[in-house]
Parts: sequence; C-alpha cells; structure tokens
Amino acid sequence: MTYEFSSHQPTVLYIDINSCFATIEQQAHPQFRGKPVVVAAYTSKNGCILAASYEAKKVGVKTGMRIGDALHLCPNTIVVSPDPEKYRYINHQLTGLLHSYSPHVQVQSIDEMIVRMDNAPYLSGVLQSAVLPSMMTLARGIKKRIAKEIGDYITVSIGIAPNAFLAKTASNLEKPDGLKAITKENIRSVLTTLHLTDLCGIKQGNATRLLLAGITTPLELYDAPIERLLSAFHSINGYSWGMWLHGYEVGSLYAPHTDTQKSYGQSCAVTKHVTPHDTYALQILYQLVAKMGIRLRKDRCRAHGMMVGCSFTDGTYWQQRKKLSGALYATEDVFSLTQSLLIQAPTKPIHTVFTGVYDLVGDLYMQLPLDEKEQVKQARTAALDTLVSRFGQHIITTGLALGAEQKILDRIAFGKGGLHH
Amino acid sequence: MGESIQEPIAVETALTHIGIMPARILWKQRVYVCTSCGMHHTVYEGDTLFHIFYMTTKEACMQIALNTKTLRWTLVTIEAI
Repeated sequence: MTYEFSSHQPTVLYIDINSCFATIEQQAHPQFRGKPVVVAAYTSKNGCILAASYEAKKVGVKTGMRIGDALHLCPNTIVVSPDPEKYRYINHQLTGLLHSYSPHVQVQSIDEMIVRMDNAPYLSGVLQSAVLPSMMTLARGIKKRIAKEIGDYITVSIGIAPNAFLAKTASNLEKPDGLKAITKENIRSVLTTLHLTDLCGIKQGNATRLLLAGITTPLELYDAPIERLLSAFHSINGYSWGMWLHGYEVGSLYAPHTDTQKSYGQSCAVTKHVTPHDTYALQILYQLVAKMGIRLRKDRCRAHGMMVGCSFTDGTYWQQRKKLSGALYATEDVFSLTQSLLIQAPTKPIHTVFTGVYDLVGDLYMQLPLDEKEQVKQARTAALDTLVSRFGQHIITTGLALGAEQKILDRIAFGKGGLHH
Repeated sequence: MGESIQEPIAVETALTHIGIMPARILWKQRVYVCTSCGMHHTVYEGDTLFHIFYMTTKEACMQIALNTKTLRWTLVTIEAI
C-alpha cells in the first residue's frame, strides 16, 4: 500500500532562529557583527562550541567543535560565554510576537517554534488556492516584525508545509534568512535535492537501516510502500515516516509538549586536577546538589531515587544509584547521601561530576511531619529557599563550599528544558 | 569580550519610539553619548529586576544595568571600538 499526499493546506510555519546564540550576541554587541563569533560552554581551548555565527561557519567552524580547533581554522574567531538570560528573553519576545498571529504557538526549543495557522483569523475567508500566497506574505511580515521589534541583526528561516515535519525540512532548505514552502506540487523536486541524513530524525543508524532495505534517497523513502518502511525500521516508525513525508501529522515528534519532569540533574566539567576524594570535588558536588535542590523544591517535588557519578580524564566512567523508601527534598540530605556514594569512586582525576534525582513525587510540604526534627528541617529548608528567591541563588552556602568559586553556571539545555531557569 | 568594570555610573535617558533608552553615560567624569542600543533585556537576581542595555558610543561598547529597586545604574562591561 502506498500513501497519498495530504490534502491539508500548508498552514504550518516552522520558525528557526539562525545561529541563535551567536546571532543574539552579534545583536547585543554591534562590534561583533560581520565577524566570526562562537558561543562556547567554556572559553578554554577544550571548550565545546554551542553556536557559530555564519561568518565562522563560512570558514568551516561548526557546532560541537573544540575552541582550539576553531581558532586553528580561523585565528580571529571571537569566543563568547553563553548568556542564557539573553537567549530566553529573545525566545519569550519571539513567542509573544508569534502569538499575535495564532493561539497555537508551540515552542520546540530555545530557537525553534511551530505556528499552526488552521482556524486562525488571518486565514478566514481565504480561498484554498490563495492559502500558500497568504502564508508566504505572513512569513515575510513576521520577518519584518522580528527585525523591527526584536533585533535588526536577528534573522530566521521559515518553512511552510501541511505538517510540522515538512515545515521543519523546508526551514532547513535555505539558511540564513530563508523562506521556503513544501507542498504537494513541489515535494518530489525538493526531496531530489536532499540526502537521507538531511531529513530531521535520520542520522547514521536510521540511514543504515534504510540502506539495508534498498532505500538510498529521500525520494525513494517517499515512494516506498508502507510494508517496505515497516520492515526497514522494524517498528511502527516506518509507518510514521511515510505519513510525515506525505504531509500528515502523526505521533509525538511534533505534538504539543505535555510531559512532566521525570528527573533533575546537574553536571560540571572540572578544570583542575582533582580526584573524587578531594575537598574541591565535594565543593563542586555541593554546588550541583544545591542548584538541583532549588529546582526540585521550586516544582514542589521530592525524590525517591538519587545518583552520582563522574567521568574521568582517562575516558572511564563511574556511577552509583540509590533508591530510598523515604523521599528526599532537603539539600543537606541529598548532599550527605551523594557524598557517601562519591567517596566509593576510584581515585582518578575527574573530568566531569554529575548528580541527579529521579522517581519524583509532587507532594512537597503537603503533610506536616510528626517528628519534631523533620518539622525543623522542613521550616529551615523553606526559609533557605525564601532567602534564595529574594536575594539570588548564591546568597547562602554551606561552610564546606564557603569561599569556593561558583562553578555551576546557568546553561541552556537542548530541547524544551532550556526554556526554564 | 569586554572588560568587567562593575562601577556606578550616571545615566541620562530619553524617551524614544521604542521606549526609554539611555542617551548619555557619565563615567569617571567623562560623558559618553550613546549612538545606538544593540539590545535591551531584563533579568531577575533574587526578586530584584535589572534592565540590561548594550549601548554603543563613539568610543566604546558598554553593557549597563539598572537596578529597579535602588534605581542605580552600573557599568557592567566596556570594550573599546
């Protein structure tokens, strides 16, 4: 059985901020404009590049590359530390702007948004044949408003299609500042210009599966019958791939985000030569646990499971988990347990320390404890959180971490997690 | 990146078509006339709201912050052009 292309009008817009972090830095700092700029998690030579400006990309600098390699390719590259507040602010501004067109705005990540225009007033009374020209006019209008209201140096690539998958594919066709549409009329010509790995969701693993099934191009994937796709992917994903390419909205890939948080975690790369038994490692662990605890309690949660681990400079990895009958919420308890586990780690130089809590229950402070000690702990933790919310995260710390440099920086997580502090 | 300064400054603002914007900055008895604003955003530190402006003058690019509780301005960073 083969698929027919969707009869749904191209009413989905996929908006992608071009080189998001780097462009925002160029917007804020006019002296960086027209120059190769990279935003990196750490500005040391081994720091990983999170975003590169188009000027840097032109000379071969890519996201994921090390700073040292980027400087080798382009010695005058400007290296900037990330400023998450700035990026979140732009995200909120853009979300607000898009909401003026449709109530159905879906934030995919810090730099990607989906706007569904079905039933939006903008398209009411528009003839079916005029939907695409109207959407193109709308997209041009959005670009103008972004330049005027958010930043004249910030550009977006916009894709228009009947579903979010094809709209994203369209947004990737032309960068920067692109505007492309994928419709029933041009789908075949668009797919002939692409490689399998150009499709979002197909990387080495899926490409190999498809190659083994004799599918070597996106057009062959488009034309493949359902049975062949099901056997190629060995799962229902084969069906979804056929549907996405034919303009249908299926599965949860681009469905509105409804999941609740399942775990909280923090990690930190260690720049000094330390082992898990050094005081410095414990200071970092405390800072990680303190930040994680604030996030946990802010969402009114407690955790039944906790873990701690480290990766070492020799490439090895160690991790310990513990499940508890009682739920944890106080920083002091989580730290005490993680500390007792961390001392079991091998004595080797650490590269990264990480910790996390999982198995969450959303019942923090719902019940007054009978135990007096527990009551005191609950009141103390709540008082500490009040201090933090009033004066900032680093206003209070334990004696162990007193005087230690604040190593746990605010970061933008990939996906939707990066939208919240 | 600019040099971190973290010093108090005096700022004269002007009402423009995009809202209130810094127009002149007095730092170390020298007046810097703002030519453009690269970006403006807000950030909370605890429950204190700060307005952050990235200003360009003829001589330098400056990041300045307004503490909305104390109404004091701070020169955060400066970079010569």
